[in-house]
Amino acid sequence: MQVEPPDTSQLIDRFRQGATQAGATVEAVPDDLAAVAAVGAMARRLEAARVTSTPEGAHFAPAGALVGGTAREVADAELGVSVGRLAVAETGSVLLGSNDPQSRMVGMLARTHVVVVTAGDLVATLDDAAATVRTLARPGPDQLRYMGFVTGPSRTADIERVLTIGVQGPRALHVVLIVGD
Amino acid sequence: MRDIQLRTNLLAFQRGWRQSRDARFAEYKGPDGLSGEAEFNALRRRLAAAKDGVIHDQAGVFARFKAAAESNGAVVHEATSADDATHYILSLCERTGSTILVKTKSMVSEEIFLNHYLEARGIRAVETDLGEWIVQLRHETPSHMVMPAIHLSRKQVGETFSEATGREVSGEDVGEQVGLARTELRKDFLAARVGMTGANALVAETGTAMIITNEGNEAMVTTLPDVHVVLVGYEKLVATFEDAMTQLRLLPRSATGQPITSYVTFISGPDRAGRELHYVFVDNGRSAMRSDPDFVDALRCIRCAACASVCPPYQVVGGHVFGHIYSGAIGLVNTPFHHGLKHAAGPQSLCVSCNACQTVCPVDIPLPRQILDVRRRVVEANGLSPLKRAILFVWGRPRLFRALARAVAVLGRPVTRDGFLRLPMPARHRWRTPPAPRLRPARQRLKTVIEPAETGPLANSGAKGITVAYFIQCLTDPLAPEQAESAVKLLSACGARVVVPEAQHCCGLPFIDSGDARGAKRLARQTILTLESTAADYVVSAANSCVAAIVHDYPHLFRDEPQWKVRAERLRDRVLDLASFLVNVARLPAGALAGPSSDVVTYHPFCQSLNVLNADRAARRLLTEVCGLELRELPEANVCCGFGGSTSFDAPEVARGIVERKLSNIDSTGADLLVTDNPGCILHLQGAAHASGRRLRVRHLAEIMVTRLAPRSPGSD
Repeated sequence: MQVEPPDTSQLIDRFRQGATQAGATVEAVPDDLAAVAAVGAMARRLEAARVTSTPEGAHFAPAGALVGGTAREVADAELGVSVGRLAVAETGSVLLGSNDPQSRMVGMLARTHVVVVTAGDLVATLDDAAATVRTLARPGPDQLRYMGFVTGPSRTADIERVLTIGVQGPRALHVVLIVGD
Repeated sequence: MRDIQLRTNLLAFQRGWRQSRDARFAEYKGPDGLSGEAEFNALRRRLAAAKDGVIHDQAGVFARFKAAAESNGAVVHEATSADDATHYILSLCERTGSTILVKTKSMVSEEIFLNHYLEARGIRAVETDLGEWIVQLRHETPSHMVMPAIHLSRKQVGETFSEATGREVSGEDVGEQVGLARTELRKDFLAARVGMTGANALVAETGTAMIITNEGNEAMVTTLPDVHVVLVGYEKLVATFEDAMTQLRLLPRSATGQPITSYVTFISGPDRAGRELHYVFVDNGRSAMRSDPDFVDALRCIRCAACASVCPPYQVVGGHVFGHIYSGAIGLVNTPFHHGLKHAAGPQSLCVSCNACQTVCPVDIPLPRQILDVRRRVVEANGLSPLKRAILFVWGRPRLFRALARAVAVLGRPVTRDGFLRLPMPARHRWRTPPAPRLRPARQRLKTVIEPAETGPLANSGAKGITVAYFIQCLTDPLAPEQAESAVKLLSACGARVVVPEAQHCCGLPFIDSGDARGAKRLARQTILTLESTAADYVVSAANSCVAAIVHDYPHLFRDEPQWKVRAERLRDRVLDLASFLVNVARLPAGALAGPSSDVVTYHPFCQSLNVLNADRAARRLLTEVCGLELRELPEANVCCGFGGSTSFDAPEVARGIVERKLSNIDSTGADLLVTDNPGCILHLQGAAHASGRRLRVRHLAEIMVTRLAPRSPGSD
């Protein structure tokens, strides 16, 4: 059965649906500047005393955000800022990764994790995303040896199947999607 | 008291799991445009094929994985034994001077008793998955492969946490309990120098481990320490990312009822100089499985635990009893290979053969058949109990069986009332009133040839001119002859000529069920001979368990006897359960038996009708369309009634626990009449309903339909 390839606005809707179903919040903004503003607004809303960021995320993070901190420094920062390499409409996931363990700690240890990703990097299915994962994982100087799909905040239902959001990882995931005009 | 708590916890778990698992597949639309069960079946066919490809070329796929992983800078160690695997991990800890090993959930580590080994040598193995941490604090093992602490209530968790921390931890506020894990485990994450995970799949094409988690502990375990060890069984290998994505679509939905987990991590090598990634591959009996044609398919397993989540006996006894280290149906099947047949002997005896496990298995492992194969091996090794041997001795000899039934009917006459034997029962069996054998069994009531009806509401059906051989069933003959009478009457009313072969007795299912392959084959051959010798177009029975045995079990029973296998397969083509015959052959039209009814009716599909024969739809159609009955929907209709053949006798507590669940579901419908399509279920449900004082009538579909053949005034069936 031939299925029509979805257009970008359909993909964005599907992404939003999947991400929201997984407990993330999604905010569409027109451009980089607006993304910076969105992250800043988030930091203010959270009254974030400590903001930490990956090197790529520093572009979007408020001034003074800690980049390259140790685990103890980053631990329980109110806000952590990362940049997604792509987003997956099928599941509402973002793909993050870095060969730098300290960079990864941002999304691991901060209480709220905000991921900035561009709609141009939004793909339809897990298979599309896997093709990128395969390319990134191939041996070579640019090999990305640690990456992953992140969908919503950390969670568990191990006790009586009662869903609790926020376990070891972030208790909130916010996606800032740069959609362009 | 603890048992009641366990059952209550697991009942809530199974109901919640089933609802969310079904909902996730229902709402998922695959790239091929399919959704729901159709998509589930398409996905699992694909994943099963992918896993089979690896199983049959494991050396090749492993070699590719190893080459890629090593070129990425990982170390790949093939453990020569369980001890070698634990020793390898120990030496990593010793080399790095790490007295703590932080772990994510790993069934392989349970399988090889890693924690115990390390702790005896001064290394503290810290479980960081919440459920695993809880059971570790309780000095228990996980009771479920995905939800290790699901057998516990929040109150029990609160008590465990209070004891472990010396503080008052809420027994009510799950959020507070979870928050404790964050603070308590953080110190260990930061102090450990070695982290251990499993992997959900190992992608050979790039030497990449895919790890699927929710809590965020995997990121801690793999990022904070400088050394990461991945402990896996060889069966985790997949060839490509496509296969890994097929698995990703199936695993979270089947395991936790999620479309995807919070984290799906792809690790291909140590991320930076000075850090290490090690793979430890464990065999521990997997090669033996691979070279065993009966069990090789079980290597497809992706550890989703759906087979436990759907299992009725599992709900009654919990994962520590329904399994050994691995729980659920897969545990019954792989335990002989990983830990020895003796550890599988007890657990496998609790399986009721309802086949629910295979219906939800994302790689379609023939678990029900494999469990019976384990049972056969246990019986070959240990023999049958003297009581069992005596029962089967009589059961396999028709004249003796009938003589005994008649003797009980005659001697039991003074204590027979309403078809039940009113005898004092030992406490263990008091929850069901035994049925009384009849003085006139079915074979005395039925002629050997019954001519087709010429008139009547069904006389011109699609069965007109057809000859049907009727199979009574060994149990129906003495205990429920009216069911056979009704079925035969119906068939004749549809215009079929019915022959009742005299030589028939037992299809052999009780022997298959008891692990007695020799006895099963003897009776199966006798049944095949009897039915072959009828010149009938079809063989029909209202005993769906026999239909399932003939159609489904016979070919496997005779897999080493090609001539009998062929004969069984030929016979299979002619054998139908009554409902399927009436719908697909007789093609009874809607309303043909419509009429008023004052009953409140609900329908329970026999589990084999549902899971193996796909006959429940036909049964429903006969009730709702042909008879025009309004059915109250039975909650958990797809859960077994608990009869389970031999389990009913070997593990009556399990049969009781399951039937109580079924009866309370029936209660909730307000129905006073339960219709079903298998004599075994009827006897079991009637006996249990009677002993509990319920005024519930349990009837076979055939009996309901037959009362509507003759014009009658409104009333009950």
